[in-house]
Amino acid sequence: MKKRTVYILMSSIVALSVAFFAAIYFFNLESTIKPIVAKVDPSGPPIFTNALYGEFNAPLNKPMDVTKIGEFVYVSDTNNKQVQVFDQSGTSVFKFGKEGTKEGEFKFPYGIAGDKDGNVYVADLYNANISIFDSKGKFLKYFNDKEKLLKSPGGLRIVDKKLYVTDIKANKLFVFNLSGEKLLEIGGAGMEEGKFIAPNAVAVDNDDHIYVTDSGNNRVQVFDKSGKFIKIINGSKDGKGDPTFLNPRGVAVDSKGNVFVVNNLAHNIYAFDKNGKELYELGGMGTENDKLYLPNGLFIDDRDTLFVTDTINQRVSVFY
Amino acid sequence: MSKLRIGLSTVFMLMLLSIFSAVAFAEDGVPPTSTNPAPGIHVGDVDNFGNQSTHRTHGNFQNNTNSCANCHSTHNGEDEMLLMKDGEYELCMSCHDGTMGFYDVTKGSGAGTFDDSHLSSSMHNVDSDLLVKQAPGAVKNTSTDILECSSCHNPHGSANDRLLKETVIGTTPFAYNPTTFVSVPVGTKTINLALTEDPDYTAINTLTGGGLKITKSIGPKDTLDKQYYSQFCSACHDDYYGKRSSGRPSNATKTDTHDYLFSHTTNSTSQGRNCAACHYAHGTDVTTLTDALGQKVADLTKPVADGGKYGWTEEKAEAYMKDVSVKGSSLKKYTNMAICFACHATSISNQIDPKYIGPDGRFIGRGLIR
Ligand code: HEC
Ligand code: HEC
Ligand code: HEC
Ligand code: HEC
Ligand code: HEC
Ligand code: HEC
Repeated sequence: MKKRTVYILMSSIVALSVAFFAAIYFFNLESTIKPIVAKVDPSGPPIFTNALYGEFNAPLNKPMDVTKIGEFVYVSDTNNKQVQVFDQSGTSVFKFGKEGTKEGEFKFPYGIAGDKDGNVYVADLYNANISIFDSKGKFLKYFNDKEKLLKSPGGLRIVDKKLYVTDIKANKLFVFNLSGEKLLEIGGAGMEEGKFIAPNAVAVDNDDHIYVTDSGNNRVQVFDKSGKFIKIINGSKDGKGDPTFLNPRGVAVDSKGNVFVVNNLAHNIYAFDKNGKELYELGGMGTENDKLYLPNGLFIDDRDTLFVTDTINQRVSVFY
Repeated sequence: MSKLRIGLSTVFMLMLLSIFSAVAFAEDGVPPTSTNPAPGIHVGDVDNFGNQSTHRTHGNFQNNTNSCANCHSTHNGEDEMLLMKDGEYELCMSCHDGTMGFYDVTKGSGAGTFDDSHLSSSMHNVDSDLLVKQAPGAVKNTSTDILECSSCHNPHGSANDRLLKETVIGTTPFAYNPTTFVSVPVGTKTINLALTEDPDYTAINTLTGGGLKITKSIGPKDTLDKQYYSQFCSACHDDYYGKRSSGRPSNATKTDTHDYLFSHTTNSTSQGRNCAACHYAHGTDVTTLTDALGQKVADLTKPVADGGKYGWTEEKAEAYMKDVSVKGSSLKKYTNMAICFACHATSISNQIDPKYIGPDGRFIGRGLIR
């Protein structure tokens, strides 16, 4: 090819690009082009934004649950027997707890939740108690489980001054007020409606409906606030067919009433609308940014940001 | 020039097309259906060879439409068998860590424990890339597979109790007739454990229609079962299998009997002569070890007010139970050499406090030995 031809080609490329962007600018086409790349379709699936990894030398090890209290993200860093706390940018700011059975110590820190004063409640599956810390991680006291009901607390959420906790071995969900009086008890071992095998997580929506992940039965059960069974979500149509869930774990509801369920062995998160219709799946097995590998805990904040613990990838992934 | 351009763009188009169709094939070439989750894998209960077997399988995985696909990812299809390249331990521990409520392998059971947070712990280190041939006493065993849960268990199902594998190394069954040495064909149950329903899970065990029974074990059940159990362990620890003085593979090449390695008999049907008499299968620590009377730390610390005999502090009980052997606690059921004492006490000493002697004239702890 002649030198001149090359020059002509190159300059025409430049000219064309200038013309292209000029056209976008002058004809006000940004808004039609940008959404494709940047704007999140509000009805579409949330998109992976970032991940919280913990300190370089002390990464998360089997993070089992996550919650946001104020502006900080608290993660039960289960195999490290501690809680790691992150700021919004994903920097690990501090951590608390160590292995043991005494005050401020953990054997299997699992469900984690905050009250409106910013105190942190951590359920310990093996120690069979719920520890309460201030927002800086100072141990305050144990949750006063007055009737000594808790044998193996797993999933934990606090909503409107009520503490919801699943007991995995007892196969029950308990609802307490914050001073430890039992308000409600659902479950017992079984496969029928209203019974559980190894309930691992709980969530409450804006209508005070209670969602319990019934891991051993591969389903999520929904109850009204008085504990009356409403329906089953298991990935099948109307929840009446065979489950498509495999070892479901974290469950959460966003501001629109969409329900998200972590499917541990399928390495993904299923989303359903208010009526139980499947919307989309997030994740899938892998180590890349938007993938998950044996995910477990799930939390959705008031801005509908999703936090999911990704146990093998040793991180908490954030989807928005 | 223009001919060349057309040619090039055709090539380019074809390239694009093939890329897209490749993607489409990867996604859809193997539609993960309930009966064919991945090429060459058909649903059904599978034995060690991937063959269909009639035995009931691992929990409710198999009743589930996408069960196989979940461990054998159909989307990451480089190798359709291989699912959890590095994560097998974590996969099993997704459920066996206590979050299923039962069969928490970090808690003491008939198999011992995989917890390494206590004093005197030792275990099959399934989380650390050790090779199967690194087993002490491995002479014939030269397997370079990594030691993991599936070295001993078949997660899909097995004729044996506790999903224990029918072939441990390679494809030869580990079990053989102890007198004729003829292999027991795959599909025959050889690991037969003394299982009883676990009273901690009565609520689950009494459910109707589920078929889920949570059991606990004290080791191999009857006489022949004990020999098979020893054969199972000896698939890897082959040199520890034998009569006191003979039968050990490492002695075979030696001519001078003084160079022989000796061990207590491990291949007999009698009490105390199988691996499970003295060892746990998973691991041990100060909470699972017992003294010669069969007492554990939990028995020693039980407050007198609650019917305990001693009411010791945790510290005192652990100091008493601690294993001080040079080689570590070697997955033992009894601390230090307490197991030997439990049997030999009456023959090596005639000064035993009569309260430790049972009606059969033997040391009380002896009765607990398999
Ligand atoms: C999704 C949860 C889950 C995962 C993952 C899982 N298991 Fe299990 N496992 C169970 C349940 C539930 C049972 C009890 C039901 C049964 O006996 O099949 C069980 C029982 C067992 C038993 C006792 C079986 C018996 O019949 O006594 C063994 C051994 C076992 N699992 C090994 C494994 C191994 C090895 C792995 C990893 C390859 C694994 N499991 C992964 C849930 C799981
Ligand atoms: C609990 C997780 C799990 C489930 C569910 C599961 N598998 Fe597997 N599978 C494994 C593991 C782990 C291995 C590797 C075992 C090994 O290395 O011996 C494996 C290996 C295999 C192999 C290779 C066997 C061999 O010995 O090389 C086949 C075939 C197979 N699986 C088929 C299936 C089929 C069919 C299903 C559904 C009925 C299924 N698997 C469900 C965990 C699982
Ligand atoms: C060295 C072989 C070996 C390895 C490795 C091994 N197991 Fe086992 N496991 C056994 C044997 C043998 C038993 C039965 C012990 C008995 O009852 O005497 C058993 C029993 C069990 C049980 C029933 C426990 C009970 O409550 O009685 C479970 C569950 C189990 N294994 C899961 C696992 C898991 C999960 C792993 C990996 C983390 C694993 N095993 C690794 C040999 C092994
Ligand atoms: C699949 C092969 C395999 C089988 C089957 C197996 N082992 Fe092992 N065992 C190993 C390996 C490899 C090691 C060394 C690695 C380690 O210590 O984790 C080992 C180590 C041990 C040790 C020494 C541990 C220490 O801390 O020094 C004991 C004791 C033991 N095994 C007992 C048993 C018993 C009892 C059984 C039967 C229930 C058994 N093994 C079955 C592979 C096996
Ligand atoms: C009568 C009790 C008894 C029986 C039966 C027994 N062992 Fe042991 N074993 C012990 C004791 C005690 C130790 C620790 C002291 C030692 O190392 O000599 C031990 C140690 C071991 C070790 C660790 C040795 C090392 O070199 O690190 C292995 C491996 C082992 N046993 C495997 C087996 C296997 C496999 C069987 C069954 C074929 C078996 N044992 C049967 C009592 C027993
Ligand atoms: C279940 C009971 C039992 C246990 C446990 C036991 N033994 Fe023995 N032991 C016997 C019997 C019975 C004999 C004699 C018959 C035989 O050789 O099998 C014997 C023989 C012996 C001998 C040979 C002595 C002789 O007179 O021939 C020695 C040495 C020995 N045992 C040491 C030990 C040690 C060390 C341990 C602990 C690792 C141990 N024994 C555990 C029952 C037991």
